Amino acid sequence: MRALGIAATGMLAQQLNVDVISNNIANMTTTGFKRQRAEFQDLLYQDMERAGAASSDAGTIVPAGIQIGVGVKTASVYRITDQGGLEATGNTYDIAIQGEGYFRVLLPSGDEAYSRAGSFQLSPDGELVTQDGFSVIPSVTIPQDAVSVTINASGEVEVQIDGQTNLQTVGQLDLAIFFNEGGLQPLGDSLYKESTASGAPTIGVAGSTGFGTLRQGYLEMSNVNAVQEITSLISAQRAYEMNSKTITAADEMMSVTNRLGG
Amino acid sequence: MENAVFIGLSQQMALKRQLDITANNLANVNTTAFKSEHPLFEEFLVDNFDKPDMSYVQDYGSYRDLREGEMTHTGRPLDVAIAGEGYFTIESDQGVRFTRNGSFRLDPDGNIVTINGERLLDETGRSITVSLQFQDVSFAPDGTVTTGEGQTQKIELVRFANPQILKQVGDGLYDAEGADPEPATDAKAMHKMLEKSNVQPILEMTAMIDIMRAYQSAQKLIDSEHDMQMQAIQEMPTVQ
Repeated sequence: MRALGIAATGMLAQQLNVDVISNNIANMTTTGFKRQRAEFQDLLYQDMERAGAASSDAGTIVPAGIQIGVGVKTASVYRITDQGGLEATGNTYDIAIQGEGYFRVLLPSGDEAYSRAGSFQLSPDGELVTQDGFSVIPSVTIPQDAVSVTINASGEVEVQIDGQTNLQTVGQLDLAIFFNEGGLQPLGDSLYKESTASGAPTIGVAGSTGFGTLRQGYLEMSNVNAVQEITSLISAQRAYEMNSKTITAADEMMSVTNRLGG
Repeated sequence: MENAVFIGLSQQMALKRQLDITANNLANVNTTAFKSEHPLFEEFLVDNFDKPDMSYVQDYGSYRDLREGEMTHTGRPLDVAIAGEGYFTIESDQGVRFTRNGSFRLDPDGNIVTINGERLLDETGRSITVSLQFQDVSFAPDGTVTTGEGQTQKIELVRFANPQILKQVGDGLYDAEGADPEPATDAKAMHKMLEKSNVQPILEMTAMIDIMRAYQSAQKLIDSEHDMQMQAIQEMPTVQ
């Protein structure tokens, strides 16, 4: 019975849909998190009767034909990278990106990773690091005797040294943008890695053409919309139930046949 | 004598295929731009010489419900839905295909592609390429694609005199099998939107109940025919 297999593909697809949605909801308050969406496609079709086939010697043709699809598959689960809301935290080292771009982070392996979670801290040496202690690229070190730190919209880090009136520039943060940021490979911990799909990063100064600007004292919240996720969850659950009803119907039809002559 | 069995059987086979189609519709209830399919039945008369004709049932075809699915705002810059009758033109490995699923990506070369990497074509049959500063990519209602650098290309939106001839080949794609597309002048490209599946779950569920009940009644017909035959076999030899 083909319907059994078809309904099974439907149930598997909705199960994955629920997985994706639950991950979005779980990360609703994760800084810089980008929600994901599962995209589905129909599977192959089997021709039971070809449209256009001759239905008689007189040359009449079958007008429509019968095509039976064999179900559904998950085509991709991709990230929606639109801007999350900005939340004022007032912390000196909280930096949000407004617009396009990723912070560059140096992994312990020596590779470069990218992140939009700008809740930075200082290492014991005064270096600007992520929550996991990974250095930001290019490295910025805040002098021990700095009394205030300002990071402007284009990423320039200026400090005021105790007893001095002039501000001193100690570093410059830059941003990486990607041709296809949806193709970045997630590493967890709000980090992403370059992939063949994303293309190589273009590094540039915040605020220049194509790059977003930086906001000190703010954090980018996740772009998950709770109401939207819950409604998607309900619709995924209902779709799952409907597919399971198909299985019940197919099963009942088969058992009717099995009772033949009984 | 066995005609009743065969007639019941013809109905059951048609119903089974109808259930397959309904199952596929329900499985694709969340598939972007999916169009539901519905079977067509007809009476199939068999000449029975001097007796009345036998009326079988045949599922001779299926049609696609072409009604537009609900539009949802996704906010994703590479999502485009088509309002009105129209299809995107896609270049696949097998040749030109058509689709209404406008959930596009960029490949590493900057081409706008479908989820499976097949290229979206413009009016001159070239693939649509955007420059690195694509962030400002936008789709105008007439299908014009504008990128950050002001470069423009126009999506080829097409329609068919008889859209039912389009053959589904899976992955949301249709094969026109040689039929000539014409420009879809009434179709509008809607940026940052996607068309949902047009499956109406309630109708599919009620259809499923109908199918099941009809199947059971066909089975009753076969069963009672079977009982009659049994009875005949058991009683006949006792006739004196």
